[in-house]
Amino acid sequence: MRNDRKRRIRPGDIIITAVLLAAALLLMLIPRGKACTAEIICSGETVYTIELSSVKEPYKLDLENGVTVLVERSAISFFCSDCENGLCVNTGRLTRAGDTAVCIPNETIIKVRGEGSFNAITGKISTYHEA
Amino acid sequence: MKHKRLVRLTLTAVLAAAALALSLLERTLTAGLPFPPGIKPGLSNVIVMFACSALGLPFALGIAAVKSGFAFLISGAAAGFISLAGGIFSVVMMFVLLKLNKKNRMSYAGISVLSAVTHNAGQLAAASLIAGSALYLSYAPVLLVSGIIFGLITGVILNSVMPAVIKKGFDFFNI
Repeated sequence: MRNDRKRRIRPGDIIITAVLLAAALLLMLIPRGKACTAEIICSGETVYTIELSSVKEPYKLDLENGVTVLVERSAISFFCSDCENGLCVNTGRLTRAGDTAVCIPNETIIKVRGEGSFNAITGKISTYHEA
Repeated sequence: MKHKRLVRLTLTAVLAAAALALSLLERTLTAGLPFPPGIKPGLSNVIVMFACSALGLPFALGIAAVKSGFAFLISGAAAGFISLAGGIFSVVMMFVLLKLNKKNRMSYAGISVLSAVTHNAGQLAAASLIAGSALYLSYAPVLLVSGIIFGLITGVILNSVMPAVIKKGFDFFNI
């Protein structure tokens, strides 16, 4: 029966795994800039744009939808949230350009942008002024 | 043939229940562990892959739909939509790979890896749609690596289990 032959690991499996691992490694090597600005987006609207280098001491921002964001000199993170799964807080600190964290129940995104960083998706060099 | 269809339908229902049970088990086991957002071991994919291979595409999609319905009931519309997106992409990928595997170059391990990665990608795309903003490549390595690891695990599980199931006569479609 044909299906019996599927139970051993076959060459195709190894090839697939190797190719995908290589792709993952390549992606991890893409240089990502330091965090310069952070954006907090609630329900599609950019509510805060923060220049991270101007942050003197870490402070917390309480948003109206039950989310608290912790802003530091070179990082931003979800500090606590009233959502039931807490994945947003679990994401941890965002420290490099392009890092993103989402709280889906509260429809909040925090993004980090770097100055003059290479935007890997569109292939453009994004400047500080880009919205 | 009518008889066979009924058997397939009933088996799908039982498998869907088993898939839900596995999801719950997974939740319990990984409750405190530091998993990245949205990445799960995906044990229930063993069942979905078996369904795709032994029962056919529509029934496998049915199981994916039941899983999404469950996510919807437990965690809300967003979770349901995300689960559905990941599930559909992943099942279609499984089906395509099974069809392409005529020369048997790949076991369930490879199919599982690719469908796990596709599942994660689908979920990420759905989450991006809901959030209204692209959640970038910064997440792609996590997506790939976790897809590979958990895909291999579930694939090897199915590799091991399949012969026993076939002996019991449950392999109707035999893709």
